[in-house]
Amino acid sequence: MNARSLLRGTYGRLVAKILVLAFLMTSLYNVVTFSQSTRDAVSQSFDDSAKVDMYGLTDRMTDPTMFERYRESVTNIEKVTRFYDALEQDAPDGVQLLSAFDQAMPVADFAGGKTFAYGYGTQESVQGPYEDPILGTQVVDVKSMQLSKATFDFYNLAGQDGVDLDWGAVDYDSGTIPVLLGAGYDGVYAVGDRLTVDYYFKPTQMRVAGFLPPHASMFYQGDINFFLDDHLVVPYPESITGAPESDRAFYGILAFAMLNADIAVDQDQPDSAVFTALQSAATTSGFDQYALLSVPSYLTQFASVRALVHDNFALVMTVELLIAAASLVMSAILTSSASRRRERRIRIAWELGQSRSDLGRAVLTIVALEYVGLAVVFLAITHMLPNHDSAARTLCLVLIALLGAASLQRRRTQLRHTVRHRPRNEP
Amino acid sequence: MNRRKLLLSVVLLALFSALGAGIDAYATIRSAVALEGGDLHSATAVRLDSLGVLDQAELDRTPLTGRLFQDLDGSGHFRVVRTLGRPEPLPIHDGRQMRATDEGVALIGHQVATRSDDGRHYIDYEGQAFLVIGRLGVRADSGLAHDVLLQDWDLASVDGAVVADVEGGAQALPGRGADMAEPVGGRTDQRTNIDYVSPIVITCGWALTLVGSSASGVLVAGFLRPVAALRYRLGNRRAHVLLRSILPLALFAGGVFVTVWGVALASSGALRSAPESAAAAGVPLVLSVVVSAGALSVSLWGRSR
Amino acid sequence: MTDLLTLHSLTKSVREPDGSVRQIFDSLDFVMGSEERSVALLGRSGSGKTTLLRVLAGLDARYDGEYVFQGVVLPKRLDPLADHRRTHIGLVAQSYDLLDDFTVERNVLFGARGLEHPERRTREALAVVGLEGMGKKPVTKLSGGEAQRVAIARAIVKRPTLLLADEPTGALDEDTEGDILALFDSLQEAGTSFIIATHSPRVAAACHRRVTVKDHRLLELEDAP
Repeated sequence: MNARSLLRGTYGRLVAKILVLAFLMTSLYNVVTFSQSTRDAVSQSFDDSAKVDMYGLTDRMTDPTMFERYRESVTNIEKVTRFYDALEQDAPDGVQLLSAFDQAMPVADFAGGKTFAYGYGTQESVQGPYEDPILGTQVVDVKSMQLSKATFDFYNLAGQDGVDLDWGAVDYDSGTIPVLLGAGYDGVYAVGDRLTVDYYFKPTQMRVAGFLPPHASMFYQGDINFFLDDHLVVPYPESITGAPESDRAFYGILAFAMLNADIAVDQDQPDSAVFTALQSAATTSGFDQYALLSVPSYLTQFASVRALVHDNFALVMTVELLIAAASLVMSAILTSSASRRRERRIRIAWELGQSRSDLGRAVLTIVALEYVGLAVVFLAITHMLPNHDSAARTLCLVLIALLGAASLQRRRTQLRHTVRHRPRNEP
Repeated sequence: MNRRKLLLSVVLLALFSALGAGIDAYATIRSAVALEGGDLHSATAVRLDSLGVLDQAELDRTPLTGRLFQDLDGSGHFRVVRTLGRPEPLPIHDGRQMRATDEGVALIGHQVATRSDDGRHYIDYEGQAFLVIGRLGVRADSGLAHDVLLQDWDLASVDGAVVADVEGGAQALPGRGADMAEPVGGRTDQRTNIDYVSPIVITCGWALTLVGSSASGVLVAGFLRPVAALRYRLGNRRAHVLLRSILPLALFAGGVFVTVWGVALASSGALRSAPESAAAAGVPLVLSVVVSAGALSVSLWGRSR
Repeated sequence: MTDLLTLHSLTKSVREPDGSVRQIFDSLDFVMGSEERSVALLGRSGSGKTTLLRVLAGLDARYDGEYVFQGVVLPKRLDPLADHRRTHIGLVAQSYDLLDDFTVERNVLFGARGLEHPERRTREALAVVGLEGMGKKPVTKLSGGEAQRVAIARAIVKRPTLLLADEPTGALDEDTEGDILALFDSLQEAGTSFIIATHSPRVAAACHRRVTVKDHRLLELEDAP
């Protein structure tokens, strides 16, 4: 009695068992990769920001003529830059300035498609390529997010694969600014590529320092789902105080752009904390034309999106448990049914004189066939899936090996029982 | 059938019925959760610059499935909606879904104030009263707590932008919809990566449910066979033998169905209608019973003897 | 007096797995008179004894020819044949056909369903076969002889006109075989007719008439083997 004889009449059950367990492993693989990305989704931009109240900061210079005149004076611009510095560097503990501004960035000879264009997918209209008078060439206004290091860190943004911005090298006077690109730019540009950009009417070179991971996001202008996949992320320098003298026009615009910020205040701080910080900065700098807006929807949005991510995860886990239970029950039924047929053949072979080691080898062959077959089918299916995670795959293969080992042990015990005992009423 | 086999039969019936109901509830809740996170738009929603780009007459004639939204006050939270066909259910925690045939009704968030009249709740807009038929949000304290959806497409302005969320995407829209569309959906899907997990879980889950229910039916037929064969040999007619064998199974299946259906309704709340939950819980049971009857018949009388 | 049963020109063949056709019966004729108490059905293994018993029990309707029971031509449809079987026929199969999940009493009760006072009739049948007081015993705990008696009890509980037994003593020792034959005798005295398929010379000798299946027909055996 060899493995083939033992398998006769049970091939259908063998194939069915392999398919049922392969499905279980595939769904487990999916859930493991998914749970990892869920954890990432929560920790990415969620963890720290859970414990703060958000306020919106802006300037009160709404009259364009007045605004223009104010910026003609370097002294005035330096007031604004020192105001920024005071908030950025000297704010009390628990108060953080998160400067961010999504100004469109005209890029020359842009290599990307229309999804990167400023306004695409929003209420605003998309302007196509046009002749830029500063650069003297065709440009496209692309989505961009200019932000400070504090903002970058607050939302747990980071470059992929450890390739990140060197914030120390951000020097606007050098003429080249290192930038990060959203994950959607993968394949459009590469690390080291240079972009020629009209940055507030100043021709500037931007060097691609890296890419953000997919689905990197931040809270911006009341939207907790502000994704940066299609954005050019431009870092602000730590301070621009002292620089406006060299280029009043550029730094005049930049100083006010940097004031576009949220202020995150720890929830255990008193209500007056943000006002105290702003008052102190105003006194130090001499700039008091600021306005503060509360952002009451922030926490509600945050809580509901986090609940959504967790709810969804809990749902997937529940369904996975049901699937696992059903798969294991079906597998047990199929195994039991096939074993009953084989047991009798094994006993007859033993009584006819076949050795136990021979029979043991036949049983081992069947177990190997089942679980190697399972591994092959599992690898074939997961190869076709869009999500590839070698750690999850390895985990599932280890589980398959453990199942196989357990099955072999059980069959060996069964074999010992079969050759020692015979059923009642049989001679 | 002895007690052990009876217990195993009931457990199998319950397991696959629960799996069917569980996958159905999962699909419903997942879809509602995704819609809640995406401002009620699915991942394939597109924005059109104006309603005028659509051929309205053709839209009335074309059997589409989905929704059209237009913002009424610029906030994004006060919208008029047109329901087409039977789209994915909106996330609601109370009341019922909007149907394509409903007119003058509203779905509102938990925090939206209403006017009571004769036991019903209304919200007024431009002199018109809209009957509140449900509350938006998978939970009361959701991001939709301040949202209002009114169903009366006469309120829509031809020049206003429209978000079209229909099956088949922009291509399915009559008129110049496909040319003028920009995608707006997919925000929560990006957070939850459910775009690739869910189809696999749902498809394979249902496959396992149907295969498992059938296999259970065959197994139970094996349990029933000795008694059924004996009854036939003792001179009972085939229909009588089949009925006496399958009826107790059907009764157990009925008990399982009531239990599983009850739990499914409780978990999906207002999201899923009772008939839809019943179908999800009932199909595996019906399949088991039918396969069991078939397998029993074939094993007893299928071959010429 | 009307004969108990008559088979006219019974012809049956089956298609083998390899596609060939095997003839089982070819214009077989058989008459059992109403006064005849027992007929032994002999023949080599594979000659068709069990098949003939299945035809007589109404379990097989795929044949040509005619089956007349107590003057009534039986239709070749399974449902009317089931009615015939329920009313007139008792069956004792080669493998006893007992249900392992049930007790002795429950097994016999299956045969008594539809009768008046089924529990009482069951107890009576068990008493007739000498298994009084064993109703609660699981069938898995029975000896071969006891299991055979339970199968007979179930067959006779409805007091059939004709009892068909297929190798009833095949797996039993001599003494037990003798007990079973004595039981058959007493049942015949009570009015039940028997057709017994057997290889046992002792069983054949105990029957009033002996026929053998040979060359797809039945031949009378005048002398005891």
